[in-house]
Amino acid sequence: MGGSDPNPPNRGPSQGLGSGGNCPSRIATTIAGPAAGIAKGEWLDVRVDRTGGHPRVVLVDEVTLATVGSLAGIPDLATLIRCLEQDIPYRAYVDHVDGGRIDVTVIRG
Amino acid sequence: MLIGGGVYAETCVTPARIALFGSGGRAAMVAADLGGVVVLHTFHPEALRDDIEANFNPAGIRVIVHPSPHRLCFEYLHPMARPRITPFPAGRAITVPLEGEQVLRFGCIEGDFRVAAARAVYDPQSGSDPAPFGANGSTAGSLAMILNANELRGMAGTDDLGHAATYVMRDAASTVLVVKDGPAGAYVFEGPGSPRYVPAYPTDSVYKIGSGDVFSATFAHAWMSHRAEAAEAADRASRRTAQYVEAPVFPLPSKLPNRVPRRTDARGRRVLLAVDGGTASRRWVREEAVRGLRDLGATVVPGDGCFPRDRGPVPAAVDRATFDVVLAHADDRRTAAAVLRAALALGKPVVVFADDPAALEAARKLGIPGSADLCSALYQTQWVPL
Repeated sequence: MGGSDPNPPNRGPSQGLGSGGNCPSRIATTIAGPAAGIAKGEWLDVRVDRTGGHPRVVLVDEVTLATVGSLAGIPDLATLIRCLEQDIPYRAYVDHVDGGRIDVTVIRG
Repeated sequence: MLIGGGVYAETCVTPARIALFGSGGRAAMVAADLGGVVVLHTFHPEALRDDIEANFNPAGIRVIVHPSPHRLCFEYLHPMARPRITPFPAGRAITVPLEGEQVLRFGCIEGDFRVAAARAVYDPQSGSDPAPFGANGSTAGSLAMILNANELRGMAGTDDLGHAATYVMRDAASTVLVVKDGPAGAYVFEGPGSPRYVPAYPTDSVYKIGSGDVFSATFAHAWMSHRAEAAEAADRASRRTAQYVEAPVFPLPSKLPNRVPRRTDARGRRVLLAVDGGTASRRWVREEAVRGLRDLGATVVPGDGCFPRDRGPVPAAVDRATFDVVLAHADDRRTAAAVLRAALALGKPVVVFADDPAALEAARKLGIPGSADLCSALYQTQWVPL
């Protein structure tokens, strides 16, 4: 939903580069996507999309339910997919929007 | 296209980024976006195979993982910093055969790729001491090598790029040699005659990590898959690289924007450093700036020396004829305006590097371009209109 978070997450390194095991608590990354209607401070749903054959993690606008973009090129993505499929909840906070580039922090809980 | 190259974790402190790309992974993303079948051969621990597949398979990239003991991480303080590689690479390098019509081969830490291809592109990614393409038994009907100017000089043992290119092309039986020269552009050597010049396309911000991978992948796709002329392929690569450094996120926009090169002079500029070295942190900025500018082919003024009496940001006495542009560092919002006015008084274009948004705002009010990212500021010194 819209609105600024009073405690926006720190865009520092994510937890655990590599061997997985535990569900990551925070992943800061950048996605390419249609930024129209997306603003800093908004939250996006984080879901697994299996419609394309290979599972991918997509970020979905909580209001319009439109897919904003997908995660790629980040460590621990396979772990994140497993966690999402175990119904561990994640949301993505929009840190910054610049043209078609959206900085987000994916946060557990 | 077959791509042989590393997939590595990459972290950068400023601007803050974490990625899993490496040369092979990033090139595969670029090539997949451009179309065609992409198969990536890389090294990675078996236990992390699923992480590789989760990252690259959705983009349509088939990944063949050759086992290696560790996932390597390149840690950067900023995009022009020397990375720290963890864990320290050790163990026996393995050689993987790659046979195909079109192969893009990168130099790799964990091992290397012995290529047999009708057409191949080779980017050794060594920094200064690249292995010749055929040193491991690689062969290609047509070979394009992509080197940066320092790699070429190291390979040939001479500073003259023309002589170095002739030597390396003969030694490697290379059809095409592309020599990247940072913000000055690139040169394409193909057959007899003068090299073709390909400009760099200036951008407001520069995220340098991975820019060479994007260049090589775009060139390879154009030259191998579309059979474009080498100079045309290099120009597409330069434009695509500009897209990437400005907004390093995939997929890159499919359409190449209409960009205009800002300079046509070949070599680096002379940059006066208005950077106070009076504290350890400021000295660190200055030394990083000196090293980065030299990597870009620029000449730094003042030159080497320990600056024993240097306690101010702007040199007290300097000959205006000895420099082209000023790089100022303003890390203190209280003094930024005064420092920048002193830099402007030198009568040459000024670029500012400032961590503090208030200092950048002070620069903007004075009409001075700048960045909170050191890498971008260094590139701007080479692109700002004189």
